[in-house]
Amino acid sequence: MDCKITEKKILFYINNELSDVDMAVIKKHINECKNCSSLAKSFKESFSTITENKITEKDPYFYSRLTARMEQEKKWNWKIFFKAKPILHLATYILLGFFAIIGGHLITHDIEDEITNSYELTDEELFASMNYLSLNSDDIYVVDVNEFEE
Amino acid sequence: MDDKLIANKILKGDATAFKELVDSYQVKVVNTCYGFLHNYEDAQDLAQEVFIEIHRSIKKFRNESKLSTWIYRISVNKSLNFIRDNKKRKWFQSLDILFDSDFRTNNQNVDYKSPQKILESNEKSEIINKAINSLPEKQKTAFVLHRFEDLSYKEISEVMKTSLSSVESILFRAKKNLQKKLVNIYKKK
Repeated sequence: MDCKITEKKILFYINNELSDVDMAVIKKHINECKNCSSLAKSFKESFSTITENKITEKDPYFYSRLTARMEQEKKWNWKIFFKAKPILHLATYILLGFFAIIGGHLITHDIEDEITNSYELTDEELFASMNYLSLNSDDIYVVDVNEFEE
Repeated sequence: MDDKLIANKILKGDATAFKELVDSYQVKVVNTCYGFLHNYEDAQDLAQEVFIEIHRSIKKFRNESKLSTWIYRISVNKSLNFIRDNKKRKWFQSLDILFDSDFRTNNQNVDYKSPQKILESNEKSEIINKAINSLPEKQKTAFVLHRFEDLSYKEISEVMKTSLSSVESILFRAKKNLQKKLVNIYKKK
């Protein structure tokens, strides 16, 4: 029996999960080998912490804390969103972004349409702007917008 | 009390029956969560979520399995989800740290452990906990239920909805993996 074989069975040895023959052989090797003896000790100590860390007694305030939390969650259902999974947050932000883009697009198009299609200068407005710019009637050219579009 | 009877009483809004259930399973649920999370505060917090889930979905319990099996299953699923979400949260936090200069300057020593904390932390349980954490989900689940809850192979197979032979094989591989990891750690020391 060498150290490599012991290392391959050490956990099963400390848990008594080997055959009687294997148990005896490894026990003999561990008694003779300082390194394997130290390894077995470390394994035993590590595994014993699992038992030591187990909770054995009830928390007397557990139920009252639980019911308080359940009551609070009933009152503040909207808070669930903030506790939701990150993927839900991401989906919400993507949706908001999408609506913002669509909304922005619709608004700007409405404004452009108003400027290009709906607005016509009245004669009064035209003369008022001519006065403001100190222009004569000779300086005014009538432009047909449709000519440009064609 | 009979499982179906408790479930029916809770469904009808009987607070005493729910308290009885919480009292009977509190330690088991907290220990199962602790087996996965290795932190008492997180385990207590998650155990509360388990009981809230039980209360919310008790109508789904159809007596096809034992109530204890159903509760263990919820505890395992909640714990695994918590670990997964925590990984994502840490990833997002690392992004925040990367882009947030204020966070960088103010929290440079966020992972620094005080000397007292180092003294408090049990090195040996940290080693085994890290080794358990590194196991694949199925192996981790079977190992935690076996070692932390002392469930039989049959009970584990019911919780994990798998065959007895499959549990034997999963647990054997879990132990082999743990053994390999622990031997490597202890040999380096």
